[in-house]
Amino acid sequence: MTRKIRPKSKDKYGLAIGIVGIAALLAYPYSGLGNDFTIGVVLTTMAYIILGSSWNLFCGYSGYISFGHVAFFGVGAYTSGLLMVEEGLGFLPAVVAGGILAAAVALPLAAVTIRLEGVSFAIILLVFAEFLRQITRTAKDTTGGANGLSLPPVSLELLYMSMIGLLIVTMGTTYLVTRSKVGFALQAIRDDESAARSIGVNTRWTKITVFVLSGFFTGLAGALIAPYWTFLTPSIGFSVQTSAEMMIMAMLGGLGTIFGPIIGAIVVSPVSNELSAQYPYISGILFGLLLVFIVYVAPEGVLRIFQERSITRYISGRYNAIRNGSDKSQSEEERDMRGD
Amino acid sequence: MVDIGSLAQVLIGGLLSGSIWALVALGLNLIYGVMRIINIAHGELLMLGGFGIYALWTAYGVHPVLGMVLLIPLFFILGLTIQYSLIKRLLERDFRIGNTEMMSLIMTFGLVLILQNVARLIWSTRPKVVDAPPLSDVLRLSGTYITYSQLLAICTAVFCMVLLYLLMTRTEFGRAMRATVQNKRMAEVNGINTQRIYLITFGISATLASIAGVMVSVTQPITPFVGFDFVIMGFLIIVVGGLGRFTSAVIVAFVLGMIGSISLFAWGTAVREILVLLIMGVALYVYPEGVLSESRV
Repeated sequence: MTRKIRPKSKDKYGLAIGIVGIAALLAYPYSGLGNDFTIGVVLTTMAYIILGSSWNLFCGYSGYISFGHVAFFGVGAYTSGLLMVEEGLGFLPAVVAGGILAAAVALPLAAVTIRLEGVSFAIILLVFAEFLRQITRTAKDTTGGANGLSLPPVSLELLYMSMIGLLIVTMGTTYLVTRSKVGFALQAIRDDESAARSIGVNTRWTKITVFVLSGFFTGLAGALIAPYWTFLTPSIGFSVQTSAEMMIMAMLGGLGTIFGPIIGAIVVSPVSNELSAQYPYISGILFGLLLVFIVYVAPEGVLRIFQERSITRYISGRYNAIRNGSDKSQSEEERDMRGD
Repeated sequence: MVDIGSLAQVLIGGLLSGSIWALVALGLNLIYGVMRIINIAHGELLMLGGFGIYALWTAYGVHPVLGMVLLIPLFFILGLTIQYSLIKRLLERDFRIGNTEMMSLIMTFGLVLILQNVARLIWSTRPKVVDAPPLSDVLRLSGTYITYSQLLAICTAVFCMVLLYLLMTRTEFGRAMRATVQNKRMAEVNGINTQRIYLITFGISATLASIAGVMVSVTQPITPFVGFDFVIMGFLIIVVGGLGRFTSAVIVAFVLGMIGSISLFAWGTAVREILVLLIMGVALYVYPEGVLSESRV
């Protein structure tokens, strides 16, 4: 009997950690350890985890890097925001509508860009996100333009619990997709797209489906976190730095892993929020440096540590990468030398 | 009916946007064609060129035209430096995950964040205007007018494009560059020093960016974000025209420039963005390799 989902043996650890994590998140607000401010930090971190994971869902596993994922974030945020403000829709239905519209935007985008190769794809998504930002800015009558959109307040408790719900759904879906046929097809595309196609993988359908899913979750996250910020402008909703942050989280943690973006988000989110509030320019420079750093030092992310046998080996491997331009780990170098 | 004056204005606007975009697209294509690297930071070089002129003008009273000439060697050297310090390392790296093109995209993206925010720190986000007397004057033609800065911008752009064309087709260096574009290994086998070609190409690209920046700064107010805006259009143009296809890029640039100008005149800014987006979508779906696929380098 062929199973639809093929878990890996290490998944049970991940599941355990996940369950503990969710339980901790659920208990946190009631434990008296936090105040509104720290709960907000945790809330934003959860949103970032979702953003990083949904970016990673498509980009990490398919090898197609998207530079414009903030487009879906903005669509989700603006849609739900406008629905709440203009139509008086309730919070949860508005969020769902935001996600659906983001997915609806992702679908034709995927269809159009499906035939593009990696580099063109990345660029065009960046162009698309920027265009959405411009359109949102110039259509002032609908969206409030650069003056922004004021969102109705939503109770912190509702936001927090919905975010946990979204987190569970997103991570669950990521897990199911990556351990299913679609996930393997996606990774086959990453390894060698024409080879995948030649063995019968339906690359178009796979890419479109996962891309739309990724856009859906990104949009939901945007719709959920916007009311916490209570104010939305095109620069916030479609900020190119958010795309950069999604990329940084997934790459720092490790592309194509489930826990990678989580670690990345835990690192990036507090920095991003605290720093951007005080010194927005410094945070931009920092993230830029981080991107450059990731490319030269650790393109595979921090989770690579677990592949090496010790941390010192990981560090020397990274040093090796910068000096000699080779991405082989110490162990691999040794194996190569020995002629294995 | 529309009068000849407005028609001329639309034409001038289209030519202006088209020529600046063409210059940007050419700079991007040069680097992609020769090195297979995507330089998102090209826009920031443009922005720095524009702000360089602004700084020279406001601090030292250096006229933009003179400033442009002064900036040329400066940016050439800057390009060499970037290529030598950053890009070269990227090219020599043997990536396990992803490939060099993607990594160049990500790295230059990081560079954009750095440069843009440094500029914001130095110059703040308020628009700056370069208002140099002979340039802001207006030339009146029958029924319409054009500012000298616009005229200068269009002429300089065309001049640079012609120069670039001559460089690539009539000089030894140009031949070596084209050889590297076509097949790097074969070029090396034939004794071409590809390292030198890379360095010089990046220098030329940076210089083109700075010239475009000068043109932008004299024809419109500039902010630290202006580079990014132009590089986005530049990317649109090179992807639609076909990565590495030079003549294609120039044609697409002018076409988009005219379309943008016409739709701006007829329907306003929001429609222009949507229209360009739609055209881009259709063009990419039908020609994922780029339109005008018969174009030569």
